[in-house]
Amino acid sequence: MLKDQFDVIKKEMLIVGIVVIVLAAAVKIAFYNEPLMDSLRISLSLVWLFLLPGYCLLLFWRAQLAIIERIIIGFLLAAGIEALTSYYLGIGGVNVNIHHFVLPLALITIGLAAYFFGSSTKSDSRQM
Amino acid sequence: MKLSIEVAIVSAFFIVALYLGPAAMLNHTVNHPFPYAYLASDAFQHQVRADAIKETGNFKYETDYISLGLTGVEGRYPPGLYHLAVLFGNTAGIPVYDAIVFLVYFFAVISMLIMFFVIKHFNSTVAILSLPCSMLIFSFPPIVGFLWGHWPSLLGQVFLIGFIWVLINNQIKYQFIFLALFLASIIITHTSEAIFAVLLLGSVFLYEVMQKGFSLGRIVNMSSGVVIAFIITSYFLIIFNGTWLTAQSYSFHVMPIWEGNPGFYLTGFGLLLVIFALGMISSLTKMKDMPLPPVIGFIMLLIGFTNLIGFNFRAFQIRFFWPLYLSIFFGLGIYMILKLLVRKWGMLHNIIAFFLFMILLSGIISVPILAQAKTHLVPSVPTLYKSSSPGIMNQYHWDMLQWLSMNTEKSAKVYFFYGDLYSQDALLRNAKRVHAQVDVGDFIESLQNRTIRRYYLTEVPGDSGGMLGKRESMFRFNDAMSELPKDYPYGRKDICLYNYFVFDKVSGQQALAQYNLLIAQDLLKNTATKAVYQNEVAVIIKNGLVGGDCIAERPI
Repeated sequence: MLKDQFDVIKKEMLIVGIVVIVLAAAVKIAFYNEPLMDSLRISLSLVWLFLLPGYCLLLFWRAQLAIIERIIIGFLLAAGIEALTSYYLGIGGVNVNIHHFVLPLALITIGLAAYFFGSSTKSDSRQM
Repeated sequence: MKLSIEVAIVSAFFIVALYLGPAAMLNHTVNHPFPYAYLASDAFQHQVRADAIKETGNFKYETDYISLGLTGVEGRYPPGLYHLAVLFGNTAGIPVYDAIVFLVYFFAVISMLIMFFVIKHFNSTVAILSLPCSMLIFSFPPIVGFLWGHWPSLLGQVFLIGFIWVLINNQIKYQFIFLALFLASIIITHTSEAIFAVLLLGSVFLYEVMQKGFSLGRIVNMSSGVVIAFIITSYFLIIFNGTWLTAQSYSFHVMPIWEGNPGFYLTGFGLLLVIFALGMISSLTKMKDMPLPPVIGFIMLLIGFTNLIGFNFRAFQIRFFWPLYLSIFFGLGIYMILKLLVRKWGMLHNIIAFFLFMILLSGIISVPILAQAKTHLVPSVPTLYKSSSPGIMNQYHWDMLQWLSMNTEKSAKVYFFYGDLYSQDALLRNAKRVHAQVDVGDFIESLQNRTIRRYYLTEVPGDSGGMLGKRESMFRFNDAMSELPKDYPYGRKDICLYNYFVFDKVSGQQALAQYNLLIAQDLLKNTATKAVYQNEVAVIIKNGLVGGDCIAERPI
């Protein structure tokens, strides 16, 4: 079962990789005045903060939602959760300046945990 | 095959929309030497608050230089956007002022893709044909929402589109989790949009009841989402209730026009209205079993008119995204028209029509007849706003403000004399010190009377919107303004009480700049007072006689 689940992720990682490339290309093309390395850092920041956490959180729903739809809605879902938790963590005394490490990592972990331990054994995903 | 073409179209659209919208506004760069494309005070208001959160590490309290010098004022503005800006700025290694504006634009483009998936539930072809229209959120006047800094509202609406996506996906497992998370995101980003979200939810529920009958499961699902959202945002909602709702409670008021703002009206769609009308009529013909996406389109159209029932400018803010909410009618209208010409509609027709409308609405190619319509004030076709402007700020003023924030004592008080920019007073908060500015009318009067004075009518600018609430107990907030003398925010003040003075050396009205410099010279007659910073446009003077007789009043 665990192997099947890993296989699903492995298969989907290819698509996630293509999306990352498209995102990086889009940022570089649109913001062509930005040096390549800066542009890459901006794209990877979007990936780290929103794409990966969103993707992982929505893995649980892979049978119901196509991967592209999951990635795009995941961007927004991750942003919303991060905004909310960052506010509360700050109020709780955890300095906001470390949240960009902590929060995406936490969401990725929660998403993967929900996927591996909470979802059914069905390994097939909906394709767009 | 069909599916991968769809992905290709969505990807192409993403790149084009990012290029023609956000990137064009930001001069095709993310990093700027100063806040770029900030065209109004509100934009600085949000940038400064996000910066302050980064500095203090949290948004427990509003900083003193934002709240008229008061400390202990509860952070009451919906904090979502600010926290995201700090997170993104820190990750990408860019200043918060660039991060915040980039995120608002970026997520606006993401929301177009989400709307595509919403409409796809209705019809794939219509979804593709709707995409070009959604780009019109970057046309004038909707672009004003971005340029004038209605950012929390815009990001709130991006989450609202996420909320719409959840409503459409009513078969999704644990739908209430999505409802709760998106509603909570709206609440902490721009709470007024949450009222619209709940209105939308209620309307959709009623529609479903009319269509399919009452379902206990649905009501449990929807209400659980709302209850969870309220629970997880309760800490903020208590503050919101004790400040904003106390100070700005609802009152019935008809506001047909948004005074002082280039609001968006239906006529702004120009000739495209014909297409919209066709799409709407076509939807209405299937009223009995109309699918949810067009129903939501109609609801968002009506929500945009709630300015007529007391929602005032909040309704006008919704209209910034009308091109996106109503894009389904555009896609449907186009589809109806083109179906008359092409009987067997295929993916190739889809692609051609998509690109044609992308070109037409982007304004890349100027169609002579449409250009003529623009000059003759007859309905034209709106196209993307293409002029990139640095906005209000410039390098010299930015350097001056940065100097103040980095080189003056934390407790220093700064007095700004006349400056062309300073009417957009939130930008002054970048000094990160408690500050005041001269009243322009009194300043001009003093010049006309040919006098140099020690006491000027003075404004202590700051953000007092929604009440400067100090927490008295869990649920009670006290208006901190009530502790202050009535003339504190605006009254005649002794300039000698301030530690630093800022004088602009250049102005559109040079007489005002010369008067500035005359005052500066008189201050410098005192040997303890020194010019500590200057560049091409501004000079900063440190008052050596704080509380003393720092300037002699005299005729000039």
